[in-house]
Amino acid sequence: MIREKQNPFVWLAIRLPILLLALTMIIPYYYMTISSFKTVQELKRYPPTFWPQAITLNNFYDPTPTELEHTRGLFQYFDKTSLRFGRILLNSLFIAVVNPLMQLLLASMVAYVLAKRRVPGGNFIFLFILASWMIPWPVTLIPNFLTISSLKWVNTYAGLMVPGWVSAFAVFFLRQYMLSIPDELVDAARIDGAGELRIWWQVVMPLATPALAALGVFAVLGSWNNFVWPLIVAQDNAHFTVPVAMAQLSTVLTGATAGAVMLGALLSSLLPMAFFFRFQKEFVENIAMTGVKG
Amino acid sequence: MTAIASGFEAADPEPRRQSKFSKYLPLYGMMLPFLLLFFVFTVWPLVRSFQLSLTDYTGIATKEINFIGLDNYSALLSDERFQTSLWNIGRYVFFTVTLNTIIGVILAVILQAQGKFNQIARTLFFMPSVTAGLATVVVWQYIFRSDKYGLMNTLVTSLGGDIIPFLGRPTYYMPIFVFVSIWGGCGMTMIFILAGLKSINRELYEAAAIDGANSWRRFWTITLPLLRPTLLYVVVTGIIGAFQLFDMAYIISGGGLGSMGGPLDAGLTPMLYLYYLGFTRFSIGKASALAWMLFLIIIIFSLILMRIGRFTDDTL
Repeated sequence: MIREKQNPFVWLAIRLPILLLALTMIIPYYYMTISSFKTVQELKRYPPTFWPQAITLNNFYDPTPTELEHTRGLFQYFDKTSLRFGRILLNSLFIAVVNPLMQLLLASMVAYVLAKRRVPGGNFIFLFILASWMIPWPVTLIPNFLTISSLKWVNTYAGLMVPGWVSAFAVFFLRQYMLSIPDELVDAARIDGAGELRIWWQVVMPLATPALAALGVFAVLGSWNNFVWPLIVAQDNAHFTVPVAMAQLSTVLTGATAGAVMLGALLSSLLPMAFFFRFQKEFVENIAMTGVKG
Repeated sequence: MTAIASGFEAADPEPRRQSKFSKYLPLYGMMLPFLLLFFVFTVWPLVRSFQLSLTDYTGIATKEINFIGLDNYSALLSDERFQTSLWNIGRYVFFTVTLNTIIGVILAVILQAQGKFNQIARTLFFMPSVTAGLATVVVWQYIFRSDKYGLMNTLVTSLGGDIIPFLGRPTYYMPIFVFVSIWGGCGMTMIFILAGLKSINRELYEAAAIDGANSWRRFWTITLPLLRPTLLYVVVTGIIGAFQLFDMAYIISGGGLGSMGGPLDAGLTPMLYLYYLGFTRFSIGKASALAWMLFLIIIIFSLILMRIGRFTDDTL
């Protein structure tokens, strides 16, 4: 990197606007967080306070909910299901764990065969999967819903989850990565008498860990944030996911109810945030692998 | 590798005598689960969707399904709400993708050097790209409240302006969509560009510097041309994604008494209209036609852009 000698004023003149801009990026997070702990009285105050005067946990559970203004805690909404919002959080967590695992499992088997073994029709299958990448999800939305209804999977976990187990992108990404794994390792295992499943699981998968992790972090976020599909498949509170619940809460968003709604937003941002800080490297790696080479 | 010998897959002692069938069977078996789901949830829906778009299917099992040719398509083309949604999304795509790319490049170039300051700034810019989901749209909805209690209106009035009815007037819908999308997307673009910048050979810059090119000139003659593959990727995927805008439109303009779209349909996008037609009106045929038209528009745009990208590549 070439560095031209910069005088400190120029340095500051560039950095200061950037710093201000960077801080405005996180204002929504800050505002959401403080609003989650404000009292109803403070939430209705004008002008809105930028630093909470009093902190309350009533937005989780309000011992004295009001009928008139519909104020109650987040965990008092969705009363048609046990655990209420807690159930919805668990639904989302469950899906965010199982869907990425299934995606990676199914895709990695295909990727292994396509990258390391020659099978008749392999190239055709690969091109077919690759081409399907062009299909935007709106096209498949209605037929998939009809399929799910004829399977009687509306309002079930199977209906919520199974269509999300197919990821053409994961196949492509893993195949590209597995091509870089030396054939010698695979051949050596085969000579030692290992079967295909064993080579895939014990030789190729461990070596593909960086690619699996890079895909995995985005898959978890994708499942967590997925909105349209659960919106149409989940028709009762018990099968809601967090985004669907948030969409419902947004319809009752007023000054008085904002605390509970913002708390919902905060809780649904926590997993992505934790993930982001824990797996920054994987995020950046995924992007580097797709953007530059892809 | 000795540990591998005892395993859950039977070892084949004499690979030479193995028949083709038993050699390939486990391999196809491994691909089967994925391919099965892939067929059911990706390939077949594509065909089914087109098939449905040629019928007047309403989702009611007892009602007869009639083949009506391209009627759904012509009905859509003369449908004012569909035209409005296309006009909205056209502006949205243009401004979001353009601004996102420009801001992403500027951020990447300024923040590319190592150092604590840059690292923190990059993290702050990238964070919304990771955590922005539907929940943050609700937060923005709260910030852009139309009355004086909204955070944005507090800012506006404290600067001496009048209260702006952000979500009460058609004027502000698309600008807000664009603004929130850039907030949630510029960090991602920045990281893509940073990855692209990293792959540029440093010696080119040194050679240019020796030849007396200043940093402005180096940016235009080295950085930008060599970033073209990355930029093309960012722009094409950006356009594809932006055309399908749904989540934000559903939250911000999905209310309204059963018709969706906000005042004068200012917040109506093709995907929101598809949802409205297919899942609240049960005009499944028409909604499928809309999906296919969106699909074609996206493909045409991507192909044109990739052609432009490749064409300029050859001229270099």
